[in-house]
Amino acid sequence: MKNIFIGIFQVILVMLIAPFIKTFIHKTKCILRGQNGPPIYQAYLDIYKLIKKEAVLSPDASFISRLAPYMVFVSTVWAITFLPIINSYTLLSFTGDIIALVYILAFGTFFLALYGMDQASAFGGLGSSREMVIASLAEPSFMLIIFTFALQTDTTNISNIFTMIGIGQFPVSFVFALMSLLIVALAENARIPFDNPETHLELTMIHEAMILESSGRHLAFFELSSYLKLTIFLTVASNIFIPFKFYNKTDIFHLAIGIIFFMIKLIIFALPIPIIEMSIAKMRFFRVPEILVLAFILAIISLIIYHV
Amino acid sequence: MLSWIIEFLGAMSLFVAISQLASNRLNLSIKIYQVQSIFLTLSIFTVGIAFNSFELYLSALFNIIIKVFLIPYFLFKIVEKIKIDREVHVYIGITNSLLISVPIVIFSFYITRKIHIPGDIVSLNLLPMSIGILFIGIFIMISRKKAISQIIGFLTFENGIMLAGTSITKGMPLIVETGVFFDVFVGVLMAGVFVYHIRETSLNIDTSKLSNLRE
Repeated sequence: MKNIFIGIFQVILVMLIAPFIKTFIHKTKCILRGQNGPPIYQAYLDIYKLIKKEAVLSPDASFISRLAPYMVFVSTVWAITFLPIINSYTLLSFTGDIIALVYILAFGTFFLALYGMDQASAFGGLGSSREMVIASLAEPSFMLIIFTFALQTDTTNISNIFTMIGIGQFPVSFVFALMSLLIVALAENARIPFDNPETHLELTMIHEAMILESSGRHLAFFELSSYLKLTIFLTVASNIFIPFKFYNKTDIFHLAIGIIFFMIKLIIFALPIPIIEMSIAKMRFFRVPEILVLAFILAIISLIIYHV
Repeated sequence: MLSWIIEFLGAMSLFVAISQLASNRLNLSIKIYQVQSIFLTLSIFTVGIAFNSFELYLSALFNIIIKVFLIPYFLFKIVEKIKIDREVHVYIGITNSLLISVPIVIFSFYITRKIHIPGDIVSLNLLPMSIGILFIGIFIMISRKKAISQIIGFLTFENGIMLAGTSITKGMPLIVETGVFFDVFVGVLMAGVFVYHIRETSLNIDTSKLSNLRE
């Protein structure tokens, strides 16, 4: 009973922290540019404002447009239920592993692409096709990164992987996996070398092109899912590369320590993203496969170095 | 912990060498070389801490002066002076050369597995990684068309030798190190002058065009 409570608590914790991480990245970027930037609670206000508004659908929209925002949101939350955050017990840890996490996220991407094509807007189809190219190229490298961890710990259970890797004990091959994971995370979350998350109505947009037609609470669910997806990637990276033992105690003191550590780790791993976005320009779309091949190569090398 | 840091820095230099293969601009290539030199310097410095050797600290200092500042500055100046298009032209495409880098790294791990190094060694994985950097440098030299890219391949190759040298010895004698540094620096200066003359005589720095006869 206590474990189920902890599992639900972790899901709620991630959903509360995710908008903060998004605003944190945006704010850091603004400070680096010499601007003031939005207040740190801006993303919460955005979500609140969007949820209050009604959703407007085009007359061409089928039932998929009504279904897709909820499916994307549910698949992202479903992925979080696998993810240990402050405690090694999670709601679904008895049934799934880290491979399931990857494909549950892909399930959300599938519905997002369907949504882009459903409303018969010219931008939506373009966005969906681009998103599918990037997702199909990023997925093999993500799987290879995960196999590296799975081989190292002899298990594919997420909680076991996170608890078995100790501080400073992981082999050097993980460095390549980390770099590969960074590239894959930037690609999957539509960050700057691949897509600019801040602009609407740019001809090269990818993520924004798919959700261009959405409004009101549908848009709120899409936005919240994209924040959550970024937080999931940051959590996987930080739990593997700055591991600390899960205490597995449920008193207030250990929970507070866990939450503080979680926040610190997320902030450390979120910091490279604005710095990369400041220093690199967005790439041409036909250069994206080359960079994703680089991620794939690094994942393979990571796998090899561990084995040789 | 110290040997882990050294391995980490060596792995980062191998990562930067591989990402050198993915660069499509001359300026970006030079910047990537600069970053690689920074990781090499840090790695030499950490080996210096591990063995507490003054010569390695001095070697790291030379590294930072020559490879991080002087050579990139000179290369940037050449690129600016000869006013060519900044694209990297290749014989083998970027995606294919990245895929070829995997067998290169596997091969370098395979050939160094049997080598037995006597004496205390700071890190076992550093030698294969530096051999990998060396082979990738040679691969850059043979797969790129422009002379500046070939110079960068040579410099990457030299960084690999440097890393291999510090990983299996406790630093070469200072006079050898100094000789190597000035050798590289003068080599790059001369190569730069050559690039300039190639540009003067054949109007571009594409070495594949050198076989065409002109009056």
